[in-house]
Amino acid sequence: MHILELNGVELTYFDTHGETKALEDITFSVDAGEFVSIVGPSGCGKTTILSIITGLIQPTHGKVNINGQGSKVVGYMFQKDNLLEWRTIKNNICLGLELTHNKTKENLDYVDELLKKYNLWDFRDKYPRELSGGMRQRAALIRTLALRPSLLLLDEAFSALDYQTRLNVCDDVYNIIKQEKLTAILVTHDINEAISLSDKVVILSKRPSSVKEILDISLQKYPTPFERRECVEAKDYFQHIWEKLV
Amino acid sequence: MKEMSSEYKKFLKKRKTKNILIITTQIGLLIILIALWEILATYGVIDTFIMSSPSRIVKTISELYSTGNLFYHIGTTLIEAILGFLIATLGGTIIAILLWWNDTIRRIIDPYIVVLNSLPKIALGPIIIIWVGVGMQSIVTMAILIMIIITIISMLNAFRQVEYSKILLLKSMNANKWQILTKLILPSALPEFISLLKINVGLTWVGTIMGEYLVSKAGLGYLIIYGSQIFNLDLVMASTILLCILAALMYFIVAFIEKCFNKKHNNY
Ligand SMILES: Nc1ncnc2c1ncn2[C@@H]1O[C@H](COP(=O)(O)OP(=O)(O)OP(=O)(O)O)[C@@H](O)[C@H]1O
Ligand SMILES: [Mg+2]
Repeated sequence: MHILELNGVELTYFDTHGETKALEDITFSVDAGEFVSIVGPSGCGKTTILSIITGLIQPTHGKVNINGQGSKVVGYMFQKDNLLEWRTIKNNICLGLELTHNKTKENLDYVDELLKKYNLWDFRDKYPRELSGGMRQRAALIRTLALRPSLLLLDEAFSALDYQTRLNVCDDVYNIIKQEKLTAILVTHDINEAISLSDKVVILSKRPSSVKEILDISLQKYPTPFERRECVEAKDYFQHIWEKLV
Repeated sequence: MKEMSSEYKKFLKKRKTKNILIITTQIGLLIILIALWEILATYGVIDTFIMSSPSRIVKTISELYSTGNLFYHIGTTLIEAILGFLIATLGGTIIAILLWWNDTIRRIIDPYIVVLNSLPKIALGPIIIIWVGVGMQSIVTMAILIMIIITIISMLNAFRQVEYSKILLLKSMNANKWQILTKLILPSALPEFISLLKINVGLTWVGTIMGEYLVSKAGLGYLIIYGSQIFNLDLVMASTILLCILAALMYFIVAFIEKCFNKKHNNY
C-alpha cells in the first residue's frame, strides 16, 4: 500500500522580489516500510517537498495523498536539532506530546522506553548544551518518534555532524527506523548516504525541479549501511546518480 | 563536591584575597571622600552654603525625619517609580506581544513607534500635565512614556529574533499560534526581558524625577527643586543622596532577581 503519493505537485513561491518556481512536476510514491532518499542539486526544492508533505505549505497545483493512522502521521526531523535550550532533554522530547495534548501515561512510558533504548536515559535531565552533536541529533529523533508517526521525514538530518559522528548516527538512525518499522524519506547531499540507507532514490533535476529518475537500490544482502557503503555495487550506483545530477 | 587540586585551592584563595581587597578599597574610598568633605567644610576651605557638608546632610535628614516628612517624600517618589516601572514594563511587553501576533498592526504602528522613540519625552511634559492633570498621575505617565517605547522595541525585537526553523518545528507538530507564543517565543525572550528590567529600573528614576521637576507637591524630586529655589543646598544634597540610595536598592533587587534566574537557567 502506498503510504504517500505525490501527483504532479507544482509549487511557486511568491514574494516581493518576484515569483520563484521551485517545483515543476513532482510525482512519486512511497510504500509502507520503505526507506526513500531524495537527492538533487542545491536549491532545487528538496526542503520544499518535505514542507509540502508535512502540510506547512500548500502546493500550487497537484495532489498529495497520505494514508496513515495515528494522531500525527508525519514526523519531520529538521537539519538543525532545534532543541529548546531552556528545556531538559526529556522535556524537549515531550514537546510534541505537550502540543498535541497527548501527555498520557502510556506515551510518557514510551518516551522513557525510547530514552533507554537509544542511550539517552542518563541524560534525560540534562540541558541540550550539555550534550554532544550526535546525542542532540538522537534526542531530536526521539522527539519526533514520541509522536509515533508512520512517516518520518529527515531533512539533511546528519549534515551538521562531523564525518565520524555522522557515520555512527547514520547507522543508529537507520537501526531505529528499522526497529520501529517506520517509513522514511531522507533528503541528502551525500550520494553515498542515499545509496547505503535507501530502498529507492528519487533524483531531482535543477530548479524548477521535476523527478529525473527513481532508482531502485537492491543491496539487501548487506545488513548494515556501513557495509553497503563499502560494497562494490555501491560504486556503480554512485556513478549512475552522479551522472544524472551533473 | 569534587576533589580540588592544591593549585586550584591556591587559585581560589588568590581570587578571594583580591575580592576582599577590592571591596575594602571601595568602602575606604567612600569614607575618605566623606571625611575629606567634612574636614574641608569644617576648616572653611569650601563654602558650605553651596557645597553643604556630610554632617549638615545628616542633620537635614534627621530633621526631615522628626517632622515626619522623610518617609512621606521617600514613599511618594518610591510609589511613583515602582508604578511607572511595573506599568511600562508589563504594558510594553503586552503591546509587543500584540504586535508580534498581528503583523499588519505591527507594520501600521511601526513608523509611529520610531518617531515616538526619537522624540525627547520631556517635550511632552506640558501636554501630559494638561491632559492627565497635576499630581502623581502625570509623574507616573512621564515615567511610563520614557520606558514604554524602548520596552516595546526591545521585546518585539527579541520575539522576532526567534529562529524561524524553531517556529516551523512547532508548526510541524501541530502547534497553534498561542502555543508558539507560550512555549517558544516568550521563553526565548526571557533573557532579554531580564536585561530590560535592569534598563527600566534605571529609566524609571529618570522619568519620575523629571516628572517631579515639572509638577509635584511631594517627593525627592520636589525637595531637590524646592531646595534649590530657596537656596537650601543641604536639602538638595540630602535628597540627592537619598535618591542614590533608593535607586541603588532597587537596582540590587533586580540584579538579585537576575542572579536567581541565571542560577536556575545556568544554560543561558
Ligand atoms: N519561503 C520562500 N520564499 C521564496 N523562495 C523560497 C522560499 N523557500 C525557498 N525558496 C526558493 O525555492 C527554491 C527551493 O528551495 P528549497 O529550500 O526547497 O531547496 P533545497 O533543495 O532544500 O535547497 P538546499 O539543497 O540548499 O537545502 C530555492 O531557490 C529557494 O531560494
Ligand atoms: Mg534544504
